[in-house]
Amino acid sequence: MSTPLSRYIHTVAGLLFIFVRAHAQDVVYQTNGKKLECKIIEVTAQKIKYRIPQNPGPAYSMESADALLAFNASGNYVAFPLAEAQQAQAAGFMNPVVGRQFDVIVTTDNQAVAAMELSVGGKEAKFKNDKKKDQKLARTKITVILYKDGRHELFVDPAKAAAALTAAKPQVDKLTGADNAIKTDASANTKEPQATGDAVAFPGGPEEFERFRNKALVKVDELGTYLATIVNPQTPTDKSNSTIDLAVTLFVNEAARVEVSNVNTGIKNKYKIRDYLRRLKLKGADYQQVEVSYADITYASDFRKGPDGNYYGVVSFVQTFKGLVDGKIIYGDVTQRNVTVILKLYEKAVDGETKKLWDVFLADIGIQETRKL
Amino acid sequence: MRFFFWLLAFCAFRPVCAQILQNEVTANFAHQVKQIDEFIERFNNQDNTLIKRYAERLDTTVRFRRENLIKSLFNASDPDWNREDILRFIAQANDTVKPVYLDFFDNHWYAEVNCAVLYRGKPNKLTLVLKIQREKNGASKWVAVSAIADYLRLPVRLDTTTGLNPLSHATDFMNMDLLATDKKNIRNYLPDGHHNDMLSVFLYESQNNRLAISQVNKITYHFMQVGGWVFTVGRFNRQTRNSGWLINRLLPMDAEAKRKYALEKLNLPVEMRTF
Repeated sequence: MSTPLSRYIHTVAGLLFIFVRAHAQDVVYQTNGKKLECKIIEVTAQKIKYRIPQNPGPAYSMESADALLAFNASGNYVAFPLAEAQQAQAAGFMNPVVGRQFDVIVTTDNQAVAAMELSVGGKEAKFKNDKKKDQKLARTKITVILYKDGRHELFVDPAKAAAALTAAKPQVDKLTGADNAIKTDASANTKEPQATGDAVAFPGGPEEFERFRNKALVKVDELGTYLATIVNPQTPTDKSNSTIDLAVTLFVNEAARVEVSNVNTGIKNKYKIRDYLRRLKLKGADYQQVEVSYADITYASDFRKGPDGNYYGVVSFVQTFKGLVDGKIIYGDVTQRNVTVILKLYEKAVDGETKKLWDVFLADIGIQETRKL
Repeated sequence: MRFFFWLLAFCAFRPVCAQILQNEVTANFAHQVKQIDEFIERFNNQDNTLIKRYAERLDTTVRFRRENLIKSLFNASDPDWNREDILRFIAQANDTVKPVYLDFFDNHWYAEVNCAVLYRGKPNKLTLVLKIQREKNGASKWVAVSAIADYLRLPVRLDTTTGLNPLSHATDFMNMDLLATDKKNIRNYLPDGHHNDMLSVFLYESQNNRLAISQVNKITYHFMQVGGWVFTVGRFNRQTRNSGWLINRLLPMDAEAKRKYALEKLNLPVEMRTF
């Protein structure tokens, strides 16, 4: 169970992670010859997701097929194309690097060599091997150097380097200890952070946000069902009245308003929710039969924290209305409804105690009548 | 030049749509840019944006390219687009090294809200300009940063010769009352470059019950945060796939031109005219 202390530790750990990463730079070598400096957040066989530190925004993604090589700031790398079977390699890429005291030279014959006290000159590289014996290697024999501080240096074009690094990957992982890290951390969470910082700030985190977002969609769906019942002239008066009462309970309070705008006339009218529902009932009485249908898709914005501490979102959905007399459509329209959803704390008595709980409520609605059928 | 190249934006899945879609309303709604948040999502090519999920529901192999998504955000019914500008803009936004993203909390984007008002008992119009303000606790809200209406403006001076003469101090500014009475030449009593703070006038008039907002008629979003460009987004209510919040104007603009635009178009205060 998540306690305040564990949440605190989790938050601090997260901040530390962000701090270290913020001072480093990941790189993607692309097939078009460009070098993309970024912060990689996920690598799969299909996609590379990343952010641009200089241009904060939501995560961007590129097809893995457009990449040759990706290095992270720790010096981990992935060479593309990446088969599905190599997914663990991609997961390992996101894991913290195992610290090491030596650089790694990948040679043109695809060998990985541990190098200590490495110095690279114009013609050759000098270093000590794992037995501390002095070694020399011509520059022309080197494809890539992976430095212990996370930097890397390519001595050939990225396509050739990618091929060499792919071939040498088992050796490199063995030298750096990454093979063990992959085995133990392959299940590490590499999920993309939320696009908005608000979700992180919400108690319970992004998962809870998502839960409430789904709950909001259920409530909006429920509202749609009630609207269809209320406007239906076949609905007995008692039932339509009780349905109005039920619909109102979905709202944060009865002060919630509905603004109806007709795009043809430009006229907008505002009603309190109960008044609007009563008018809807009267509208249905003009017909012998009505048909109300909804598109099976809705758009829900992200929640954002408002100045009152509540979180606000808007769910958009579209409704088609047809009013029939003697089996003929005498009126019809398509309306888009934008329903404000408020995620707020409310008090509830549980086992004799008053608890503060979060829940979603519907609030103001904007309705646009866009087309007469 | 009339062109509809952006209609190619969805060519990857349109044929599939045509076969599968039974409900035109649903299809239009899926394609429509329903909220400005969705506009930002599509501009940024976010993975979870609705159009992608909708298209993937129809065809799991569908792949979106960001340039096509951005093209689809332009109002396709305008025959007067400058094709070269659009292509340059998209190339800049979609640059693989320094791509451009929009963030809801960016500084330089504004909502121009045209309102119907009652001013001194008579119907009139008013434009309010709003921006998102981020609070320290992570909350945010829209705040009004300027107001525009002819009746809130200081009048153009008719006579440049009036004003407080340079020795007014010696008479203890005895003509100070002219500031209240020389109404048509009030600018003569103010420094050159005085910012016409119509927002304060609006607030004063509404606080004194002389001005009331009846309804919002139209909203235009001005995005000024992209280097070298300003574009505006308006709502197109129509039952087509190219509907909702779409780019209706794209202007190449350097920093100086943006400062001028911020003043002349949006009447922004000086602290918001830094680019």
